[in-house]
Amino acid sequence: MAYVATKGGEQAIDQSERFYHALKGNVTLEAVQTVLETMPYLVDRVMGEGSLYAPELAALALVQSGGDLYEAVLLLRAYRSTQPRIAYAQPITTERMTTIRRISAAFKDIPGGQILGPSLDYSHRILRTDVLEGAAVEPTPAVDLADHPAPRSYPLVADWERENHLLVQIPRATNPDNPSDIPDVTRDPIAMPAPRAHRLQALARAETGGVLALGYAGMRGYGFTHPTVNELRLAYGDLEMVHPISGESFSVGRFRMSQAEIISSGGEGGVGYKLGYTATMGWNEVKLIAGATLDMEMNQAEPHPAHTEDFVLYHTESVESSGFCIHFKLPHYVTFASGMDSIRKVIQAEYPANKEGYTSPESNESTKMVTA
Amino acid sequence: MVATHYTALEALTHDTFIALMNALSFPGRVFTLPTSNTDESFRAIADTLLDIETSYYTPDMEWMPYLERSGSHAQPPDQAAYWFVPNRLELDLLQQASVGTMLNPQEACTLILGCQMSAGQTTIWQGPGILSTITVQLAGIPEPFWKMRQQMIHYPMGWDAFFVEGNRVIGLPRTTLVEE
Repeated sequence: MAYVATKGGEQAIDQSERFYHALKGNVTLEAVQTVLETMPYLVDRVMGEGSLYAPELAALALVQSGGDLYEAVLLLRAYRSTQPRIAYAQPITTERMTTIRRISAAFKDIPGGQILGPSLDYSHRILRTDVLEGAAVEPTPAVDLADHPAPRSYPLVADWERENHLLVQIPRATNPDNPSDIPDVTRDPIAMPAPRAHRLQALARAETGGVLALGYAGMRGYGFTHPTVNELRLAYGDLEMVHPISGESFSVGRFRMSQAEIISSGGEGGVGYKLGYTATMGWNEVKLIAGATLDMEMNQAEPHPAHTEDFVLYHTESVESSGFCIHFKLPHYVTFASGMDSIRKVIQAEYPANKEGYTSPESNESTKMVTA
Repeated sequence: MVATHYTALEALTHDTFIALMNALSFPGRVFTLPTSNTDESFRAIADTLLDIETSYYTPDMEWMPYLERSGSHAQPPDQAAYWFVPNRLELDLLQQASVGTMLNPQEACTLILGCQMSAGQTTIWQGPGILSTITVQLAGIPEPFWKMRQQMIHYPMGWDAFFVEGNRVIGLPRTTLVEE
């Protein structure tokens, strides 16, 4: 591939950018606040793909990019890359998440119970067109408070299944002595086979549509698993730090996080169940279920070609894939000119009598056919 | 709404990063750091490039406390990601600078070297980012430096360097060919 350096055209580029911005709203604090307050799920999606938990910055990126998700994620990741790493948070365990939604499609009476939490799962999807005609929007009635507050945390369904030998036992994870030893997909290139940390990080910040497309292909039959949502959880995690002087652990704030476990029959040695997992910053249910399905597909001994680890992880990378796609808009004049030169040489060699230019072989029966 | 403050330090490291990025993009050209002397420039570069996951080496013990402020780890010369050498570079040491590997050339080190510009040996640079050639005069760099560089760099492996004097910086990426 060859490129020519683009010279000149600065004025055109300047005007083009002005035109672009003229066709979308102004970047104002008010606009950012509106996005932040009215579109938390969009903000979550951008934060997840941007791998930076910063609702205000994600909302700003959305407003600044006019809602172009790829641009917004790129802005957030670019900003992230300028920030120094100043400390490591404590690991978060499921038992310590402040869980507000936790459901299982595996069986009804899961230990701790089903907690529906905030959801549109059982609602009618009706567009409120009357709002456009100026109808007064009645505020949604507030949630009725329960007599007893729900518990803050819930056990993992998978732990119960492990105790009952339905899932293979896994050793309790121990914290590494040095957190910088954990492979970090934001700093290291992914080598295949990817470390478990790289795979989960890559899924966490993967492009939502890409994860869904590949995951859905698996669910429809190109994969080998029929996923059952063992547990889907929306929660708030505490960002816990260790105080540098007292050594005490303390919370510096909460953030929205979510995780899903998928199970399917055919565990180790064909016995029991196997499990797929995905977690993200923010609440992104579709991505979680598709991601956990892909995690399981990637574990197959011989997965479908579109479900191998390198296929999934490389092709769902938001910034790399969208960037590579749009780079084809940039001048490829040298590449094209060299291809065109070759074609002209072939035409000249094969149709020497044709001085006027190329006419198709069909239009001139005496012309020799070109064999490809 | 939580405001994200653009602090004075962030502004300084932002401007420093742009100067360093431009310096590596246009080797041999002099770029200006937002500082007023060599010591300040070394501090600004340290603030810009170092954090808890980076490593540094300096032969100058006086600089260690400052370089460690960011949480960066002191490493032996062959393992450090950033070399801070405000005063004369020892050539024996340079031999140990990491050039990365064919698979991970980005693991090579970056040298930040004090020097004097517009004095000393004249060299002619060419390569990406240079229109035809550019003449660079640097003193305070031992003469065999250039030969050793040539021997050590096998693209994509090889180290990159910044030359610093006062508030001025010149970048020397591994892609540049230098003739003495």
